[in-house]
Amino acid sequence: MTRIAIVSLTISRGDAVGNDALEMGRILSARGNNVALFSSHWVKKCEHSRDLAELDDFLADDPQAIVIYHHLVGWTAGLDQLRRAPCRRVVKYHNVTPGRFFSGFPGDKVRICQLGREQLRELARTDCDLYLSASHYNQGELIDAGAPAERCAVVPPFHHIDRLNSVPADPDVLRRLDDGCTNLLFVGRRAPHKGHRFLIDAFAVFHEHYERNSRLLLVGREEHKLLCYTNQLREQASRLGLLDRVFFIDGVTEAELRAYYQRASVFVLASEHEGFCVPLVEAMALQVPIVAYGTTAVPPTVGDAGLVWDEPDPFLLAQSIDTVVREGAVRRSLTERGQRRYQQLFTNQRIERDFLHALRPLAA
Amino acid sequence: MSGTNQSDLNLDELKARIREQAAGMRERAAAATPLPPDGSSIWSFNWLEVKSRLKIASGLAQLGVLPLLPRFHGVKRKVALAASRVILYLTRFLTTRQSDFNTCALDALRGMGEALHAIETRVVEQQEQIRLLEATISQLQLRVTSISPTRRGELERKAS
Repeated sequence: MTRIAIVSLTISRGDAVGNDALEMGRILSARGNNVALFSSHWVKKCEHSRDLAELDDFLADDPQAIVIYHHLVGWTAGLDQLRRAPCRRVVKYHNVTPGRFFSGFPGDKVRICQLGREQLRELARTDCDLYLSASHYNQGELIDAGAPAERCAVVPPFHHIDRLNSVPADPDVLRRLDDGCTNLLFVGRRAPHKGHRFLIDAFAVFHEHYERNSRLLLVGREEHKLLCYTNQLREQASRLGLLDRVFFIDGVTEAELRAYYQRASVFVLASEHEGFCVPLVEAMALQVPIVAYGTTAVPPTVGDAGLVWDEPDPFLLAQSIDTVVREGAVRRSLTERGQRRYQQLFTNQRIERDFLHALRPLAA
Repeated sequence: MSGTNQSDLNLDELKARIREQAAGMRERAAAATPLPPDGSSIWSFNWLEVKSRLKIASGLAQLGVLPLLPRFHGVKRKVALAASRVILYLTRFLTTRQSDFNTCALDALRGMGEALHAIETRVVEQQEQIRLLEATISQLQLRVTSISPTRRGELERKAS
C-alpha cells in the first residue's frame, strides 16, 4: 500500500482541477493505496481532505510515498512542500493563465499568475520523477521550461461528464429555452482570457444578419474580484442593443448545466488561452457542435470535431454558427465526430488507463 | 449545402466556403442599414439570469462568516483566523442587522421576480393567442372576399 498525497491550491467539485484531483484520488484509493488530498483552500470539504500543514506527517519520511502536485497558479507554500518532500514527486501541469490578461483589473491575479509562470520554471528544474500535462500544448511549455522530455506524459484531466450524463436535465431551464430560439452556448468562468467580448461581437453579427430569434448563453462562475469585467461585457452588450439577448448565468447545478447543453444549438468558444478546456469535451460528449477560435490548446482538444478558426473574426464565427445551425448534414457530421473523439480519447475510463500507464515507471 | 454527406465532410472545403460566405456577408453588412431593435424583446424578462444572480446573492447575504484565507498558511493562518474571529465578534451589532436586512430584501426580490416571471409567461401566452386569432380573422376575411357580391348581399340580408 503506497502513501499518495494529492496536493492542489484549491480542490472543489465543480471546477476542472478539483474534478481531476478528486477522481485521481478515487482511482488510486480503489487500487488499495493510502490516498489523501491536501489543499489550503477548501471550498467544499470532501473525503480525504487535509490541510497542507499535515503533509509532512502523512508522508512520514517514507521514500516510497508519492506526491502528485497540481500546478495551476503561483503557490509558494505548495511548491516549498513539494521541494521538501522526501519521496517520489509527480507534477500535473494544468497551465497558468498569463498575468497580462488580468492587468487593469482589481486583485492580485497578475502577480499570482506571473508567480505561477516563474514557478513553472522552478518545477521543471526540481528533478521530479514524472511530469504529467493536461495537453500536448502544456507539455510543450513544460519541456521549454526545462523539464526532461523522457519524464513527460500527457494525461487529460478527469471530468464530471459521467455525472452530467446521469442527472436529469433541469425542467425549468429546458422549458425556458424551448421556445424555438437559436441558443448559442459558452461554458467557462467569467475571466478576461475567456474571450467573451469576441463572442458578443460574433453574436451581434449573427443576431443582426442571420437569425434575429437567437440568444447567447454565457454560463460560468463570476469571480467576485472580476465583477468589473462582467460590467464591461454588459456595457458591450448594451451598446450593441443585445442586453436582453445575452444571458450571464452563474452558479448552475449539474442538472441545469445538462439542460443548457441539451438546448444548445451550438457551443461557441473564443478563449485566448486554454490549457485543455473541459467544456469542449462536455460539448462533444453531449453532442453539441463546436465553433471555436483556435488558440493554445483548443485545436488539439477539438481536433476535426468542430469548426476552428485562427482568428476571432465575428463574421467568420457568425457564418460558421449559421452553417452549423442551418445545415443538418454539417451539424450531424460534427456531432458524430465529437462523440467519436470523446469515446476514443476523453472518457474517464480512457483517461484512467492513460493515467495509470503514465504512473507505471513509479511502480517499478 | 444539401449535398453534404456525413462521412465525407471535408472540413477544409467547408471552411473555404464559410470564409467566402463570411466575406460576402461582411460586404453586404457594410452597405446595409442596421435593423431596428428587436420588437419581440419588449416582454423578454431574463428569468434565468435573475434566478442565477439571486442564488449567488443568497450565498453572500449572511455576514459574519469567517473568510477562507486561501493564501495564508501555518501560524500566519492561525493568527489571521483568530483576528478575523475577533473583528467579526466586535462588529456583530452591525452585521446581524445587515444580514437580516439582506435576507428580507432578497426574499422580497425573489417574490417580485417570480411574480414578474408569471406575468411575463401570461403575456407571452396571450400574445400567442392574439397572433392565432389574427390569423383566423385574416383567413375568414379572405373567405368573405372570395364570395360573389350577389351571394354576399343575400347573406347580409339574411343576417340582418
